Amino acid sequence: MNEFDEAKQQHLAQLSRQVADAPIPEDIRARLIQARQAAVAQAGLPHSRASEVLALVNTHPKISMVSVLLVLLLSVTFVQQQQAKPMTRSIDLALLSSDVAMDDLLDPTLLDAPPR
Amino acid sequence: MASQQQLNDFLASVERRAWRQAQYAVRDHEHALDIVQDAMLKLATRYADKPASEWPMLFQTILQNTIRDFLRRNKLRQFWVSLYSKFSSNSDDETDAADPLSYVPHNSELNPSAEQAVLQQQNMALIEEGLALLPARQREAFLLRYWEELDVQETAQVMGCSVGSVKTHCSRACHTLADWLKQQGLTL
Repeated sequence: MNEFDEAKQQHLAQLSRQVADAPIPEDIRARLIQARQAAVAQAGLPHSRASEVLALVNTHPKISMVSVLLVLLLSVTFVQQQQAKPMTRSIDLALLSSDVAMDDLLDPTLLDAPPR
Repeated sequence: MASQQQLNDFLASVERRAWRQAQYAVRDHEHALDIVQDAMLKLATRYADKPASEWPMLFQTILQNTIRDFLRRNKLRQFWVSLYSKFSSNSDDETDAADPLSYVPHNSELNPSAEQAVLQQQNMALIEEGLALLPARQREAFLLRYWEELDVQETAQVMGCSVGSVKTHCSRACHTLADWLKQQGLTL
């Protein structure tokens, strides 16, 4: 089959195209028509991103539910982490805005001194 | 911008071949119908506003991607099923395989002579069987090139591979098909 020329290839293509255009079973044909009509009807409708998301949720409800739960879990973890943080920023601000010199602040005797 | 009637006409012109392509790939009527329906919906909802001249390429790309997605999901499903069940087997593919003889044309209008019509039907059944036996990528390249009449570059674009790969796939498909037909007594 080394000399498989263009003519044979074209003949094969022609034969296979007869298969492509051959009639199909009636029930399949009817369902293809239904599918086509549904698709064409959809073409006339406006499609927003939200409707696509809803369609995705409808098609994959379990995956959507798990995703939402994961996002919730991450949010709660983030909020808890933020709340548990010491208020270092406000302490830093207080130190910067005070009239005590920074070197004095580091002096252990001053730190141990009773408040004025 | 194309009208709904144009879209309807386009889909009507490709639906039969699309179903056959999907049917060869997944070997199941119902799944093939689902794939074609899915592809039609995607084209209609996302690309209906594109010029009609772009639809053939877009539809083929969508169809091939939908078939690939289905096969990928099916493979994954099969993996888990076979992992958890010792009873799982691939024999369903064989039993659900379509009988090519059931799709040959029933009308004798194609040929004036009844004998010729029978001969043609037999040849078509053989070709259909041969196409179903081809490896997936070879069949994809062959059908896109010769059924959809896409050129090599367009086929490469749809298949997501190089032009050289398309030529190789097509050539191998032709050789395999010709060899198989020869074995069945049909010479080109």
